Amino acid sequence: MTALLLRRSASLFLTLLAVSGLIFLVMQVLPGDPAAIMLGTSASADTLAALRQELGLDQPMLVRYLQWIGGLASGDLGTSITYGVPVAGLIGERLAVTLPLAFIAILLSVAIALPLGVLSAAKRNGPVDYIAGFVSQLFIAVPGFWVGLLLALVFAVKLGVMPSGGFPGWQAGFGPALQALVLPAIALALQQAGVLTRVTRSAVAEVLGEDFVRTARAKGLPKRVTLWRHAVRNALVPVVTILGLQFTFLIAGAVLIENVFNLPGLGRLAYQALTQRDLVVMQDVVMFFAGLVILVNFLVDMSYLILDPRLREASR
Amino acid sequence: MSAPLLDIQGLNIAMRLARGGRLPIVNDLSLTLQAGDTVGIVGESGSGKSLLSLAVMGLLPPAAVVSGRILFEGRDLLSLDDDGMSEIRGRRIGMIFQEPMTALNPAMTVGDQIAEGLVRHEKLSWNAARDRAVELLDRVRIPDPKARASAYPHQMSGGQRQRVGIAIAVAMRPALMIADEPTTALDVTVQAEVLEILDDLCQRESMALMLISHDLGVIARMCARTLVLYAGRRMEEGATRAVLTGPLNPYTKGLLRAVPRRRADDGPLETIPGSVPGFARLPAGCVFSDRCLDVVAACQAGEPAWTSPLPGRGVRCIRAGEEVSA
Repeated sequence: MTALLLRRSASLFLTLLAVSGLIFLVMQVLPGDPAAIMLGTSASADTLAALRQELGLDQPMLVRYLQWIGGLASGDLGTSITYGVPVAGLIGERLAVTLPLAFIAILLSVAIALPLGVLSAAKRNGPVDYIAGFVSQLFIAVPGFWVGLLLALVFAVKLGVMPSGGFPGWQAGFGPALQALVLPAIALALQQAGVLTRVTRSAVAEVLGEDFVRTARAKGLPKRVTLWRHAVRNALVPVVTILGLQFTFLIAGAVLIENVFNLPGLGRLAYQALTQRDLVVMQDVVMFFAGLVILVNFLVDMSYLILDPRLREASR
Repeated sequence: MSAPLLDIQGLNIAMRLARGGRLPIVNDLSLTLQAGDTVGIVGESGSGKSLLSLAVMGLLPPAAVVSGRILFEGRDLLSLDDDGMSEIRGRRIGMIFQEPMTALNPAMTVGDQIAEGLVRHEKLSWNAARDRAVELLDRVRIPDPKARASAYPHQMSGGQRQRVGIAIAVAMRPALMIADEPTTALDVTVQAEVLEILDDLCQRESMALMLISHDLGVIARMCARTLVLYAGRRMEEGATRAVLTGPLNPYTKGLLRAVPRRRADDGPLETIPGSVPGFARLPAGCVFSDRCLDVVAACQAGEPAWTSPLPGRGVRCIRAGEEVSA
C-alpha cells in the first residue's frame, strides 16, 4: 500500500510537470504582448523594451519556463501585471470564496443525487424512478448560469430573501457569507446532481442483481438494510469516480457562476485576468486549477483502496 | 405423525413475459418434509429446481407468479408479506447458494457477514455476534477462525468461501436448510469435505435438508429421499435407495445411465438423447415423451397423472404400472 502511494505520488508529480509545460506553451502562443497591453498603444519603443526587460520577456523561453516553475515550487507565483500585488496572495484571497462554494455545491449535489439515485434503483420503473429520471434529465439539460440567473431573479429580485450577488467577506460573519454562497452553489450543484443521480441509479441497480444481495436477503435482512449496507456500499466506486471527473466541470462552472453572481472567487479572477491580458495571473490560476483537478483525481484513486478491499491486495 | 415441517401443495410458478402472457415453469408440485428429513431434488438445469427453492425462501424474481400453498411450521409462506418473510428467512430457513465466488459481499469481512444475521434475529450486539461468528467459522472447520473472521471473501479459496456460506446459513440454527447446488462450483476434492461438514451440521442440529443438485452421487450420499424433476414437473419420488436402484420413470433411468462410471469396455458415455426443451416448446402429453426411449402413442395423448404404484413411491408415467408388475 505504501508502495502504491509512492508510485501514485510520483505520477502525480510528473503529471503536474507535464501540465505546467503545456500551460506555459499555450500562454506563449496566445496573441498580445503583455508589455504592450500594459503601456497602451501610445508607448514608445524604448519604454516598451525597458518594460519587456523588467518583466523578463526578453529572456529565452526555456529560461522563463524554469523561472516560472522554480517560483511555483518555492511559493513565489510572481506579481500580477494589473493588480501589482503578488499572485499567491491574490489566489489565497479568492480561494476563500471558491473553495467553500465548490464544497457546498458538491455536498448539495451528493445530498440530492445519492438518495434519488438509490431510490430509483430500488424502485425501478416505478413512479419515483420516472420522476427522478425526468428531474435529473432536466438538471443535466439546463445550463448552470441560466439556473443562476433564474434563482437570482426569483429569490433576490422578486422575493428579496437572498442577496442577488456580491460577497460580504468572511469577516462579515459566517451567516451573511454563507448566505451569499447558497444560490450560486445551488446553480452549480444541479447539473452535477443530475449526472450523479443517473450514475448512482445504474450502479446500484447493477449491484442489486448480484448474488451477494440475494445472500443478504436470505439471512433475513430487510430490503432497506440490504439496499444500503450491501448494494450501495458496493456501488460507491463508480459514483466516486464520476464525482471526481465532474470536479473539472465544477471548476469550469464556477468561472461562469462567479461572474453571474459577482463573487470575488478564483473563477472571476481567471475571467478578469483573461480580459485584461494579465498573463502572469492567467498562467498561475490555470495551473492552480489543473493542480486541483489532478489532486482530486489522485484522492479518488486512493479512495478506491478504502471502498474495495480487493484492490488493496492487487495494488501491493 | 405431527404436522410436517414443510408442506408444499400444488405449487405452480409461471414467469410473466415482457411481451405479455405467462410462461408456466413449475407445475403442480407437492412435497412434504418432516423435521429432520433430508430430501434431494434432482433434475437437469432448467428443470425448475432453483425456482422451487427461491419460492420457499420468498425470493422469487418480481416477474414470477406463484400459486398453491407452501406451509412451513403451519404458516402459509405465500400469504406472508416481505417483513413476515424476513422474520423466517435466515432464522427458521437457511439457504446455501451455488456460487461461492459471487454469493458473498466483496466489501465486507466474512466475520461480519456471518454476524449480521445474528445481530438482526437474535438481537446480539455486533461484538457478541462477531464472537459467535468466530465459533461458527470453527464449526465449519476454517483453520485459525479468529484471524480468518476479519478476512475478505477474495482472500479465501472457493471451498473456504462455501464453508462461510454454510456458516451464514446455520448461524441461527434454522429448522430447514436449503442447499442449491452447494458443491457444483467446487473442486472434487473440496466437494467431499464441504458435504461432510453440511451433513454433520444437519445431523447435530437436527435440521431438515432440502438439497438441490443435478449430481445423483451427491444426492445418494446426503439424502434419505429423492424427488426427480423434469421441466418443472415431478417425475418420480421415493426413498433414495429405492429410486436409484429401481427407477420407475424412464427419465430417472436415463439420468442413472448418464452417470459416468468406470467400466471394462470403456464405451462412450451414455446420454439422454436431445436436451431439455424450452418451456415454451414442451411436447403434448408427457413432457418427456419427445426424448423418452420407452415412448408409446398413448404418451402424447395427455399429461400422465401422479400415481403411487408402490408404498412410499410416486411416479408420473403411464407405463410405470408395467414396471412394477414386471
